[in-house]
Amino acid sequence: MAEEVLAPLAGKVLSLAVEVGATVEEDEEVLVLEAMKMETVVYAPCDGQVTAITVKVGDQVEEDDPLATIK
Amino acid sequence: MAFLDQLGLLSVTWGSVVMWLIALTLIYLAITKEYEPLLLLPIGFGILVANLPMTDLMTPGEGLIWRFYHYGVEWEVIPPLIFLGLGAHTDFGPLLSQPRLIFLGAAAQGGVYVTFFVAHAFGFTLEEAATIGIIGGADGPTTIFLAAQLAPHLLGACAVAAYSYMALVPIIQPPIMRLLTTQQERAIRMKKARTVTTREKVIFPLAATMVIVLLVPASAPLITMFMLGNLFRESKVVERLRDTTQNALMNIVTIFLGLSVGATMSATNFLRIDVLFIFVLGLVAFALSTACGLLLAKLMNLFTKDKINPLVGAAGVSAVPMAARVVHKVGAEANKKNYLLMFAMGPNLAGVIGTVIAAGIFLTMLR
Amino acid sequence: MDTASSIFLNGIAGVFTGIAVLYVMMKMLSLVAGRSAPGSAPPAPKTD
Repeated sequence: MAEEVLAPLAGKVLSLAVEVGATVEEDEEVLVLEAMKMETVVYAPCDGQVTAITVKVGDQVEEDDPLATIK
Repeated sequence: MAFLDQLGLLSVTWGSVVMWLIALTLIYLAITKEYEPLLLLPIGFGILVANLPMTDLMTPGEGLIWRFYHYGVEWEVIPPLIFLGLGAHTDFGPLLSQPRLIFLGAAAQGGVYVTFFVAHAFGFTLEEAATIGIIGGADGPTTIFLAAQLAPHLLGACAVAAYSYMALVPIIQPPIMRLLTTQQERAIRMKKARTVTTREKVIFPLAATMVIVLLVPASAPLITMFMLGNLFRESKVVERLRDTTQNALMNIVTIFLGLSVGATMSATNFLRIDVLFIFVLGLVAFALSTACGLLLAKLMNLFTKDKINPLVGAAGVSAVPMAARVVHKVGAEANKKNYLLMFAMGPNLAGVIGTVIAAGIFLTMLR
Repeated sequence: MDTASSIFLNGIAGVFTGIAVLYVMMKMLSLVAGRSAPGSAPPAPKTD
């Protein structure tokens, strides 16, 4: 059961903490967004392996945009 | 020895030196710690030059900086123009998607009124007390707007207090937030808000202008400019105007505002016991406003199923977006998956409107 | 003290009234020009 990591708010992708293929645990840091000059960390919603990352550093995202998929 | 008569150096008083130190401290804080540098740097500089003797920079009718002050601030042109720029920067989406949060912006004005009352009890006149109280609204231009009309001799002190405390929000608010809420309350995750249509965002500034101005006409200079700026942004058909408003205009006006406000702070104006009271009361105002916002949020939670994280009430203190950021951070400490920033922007913006209404009411009753 | 109290009460009442009216306006606005829930279809065009 794949889960999508969605952007919790609108912002710019500052950094990615994982790569495609990496194993993550729930609540592990996935990437960092910058919104209103503040860094916000986005966490993994479940355990699994990162199968896709749909954004790159510097991308502007809106709330609920898909960021990555975890299986 | 005519030359010696002209030396400013010989007219320096102890007061001037103290003001120089204050000016240099503000400039230092602005540059090294980046405390509200856009305002505190020119304000600091204005204080410095206003306390260099014999320059005539602030001589009524002649002085360069006096002209900026007179035509920009005394004539109430600059604060509304700043609001024009702020409106162009503002996205009311977060507020429109959860209208009930607007009451938190109203609650946060509690600090303004209590401080007003206390200041008056301490001996300040009603006009002075109102100007001091409005510091709790955490809104620089509104504070300056009100001070210029009700208590111009306090303008410099109130403005510096307001901007300083706005910069210090990350230090002032968290202890109060932790004191008045439980860990559990701080961890509340709020239900996702609905999306707001473009149509709503375009109609809102128009409707809000009419509502607020019909109710509190004295707030018109600030509200009309704020909403016009917002309309520039949301209509999306006047991008060149929006761009100028958000950028060039804001910058120009900020330059003149900072410099003139600082220059009102001569030693005689500032080194008085009153000013110490202003700084203490200003801090009290901020703290009380934070508390009122938090408490109303907790109260609202008793009556609703979709719980509000009470922290967002603290964002009713309209230091935009500082207070919203602080709320987000404290929320993340309680629950790292909590993303309160956007929810906090609702009350944050509501607080701006609330403070303008409060100022309008003071003006109506005291002018 | 009387005037101060009167300003205090009028002020608080005034702010809450103003905000309450704005609240009502925003609710009406969302009914007229908004979507009823995230992701649902936009309302039918207004017949003027």
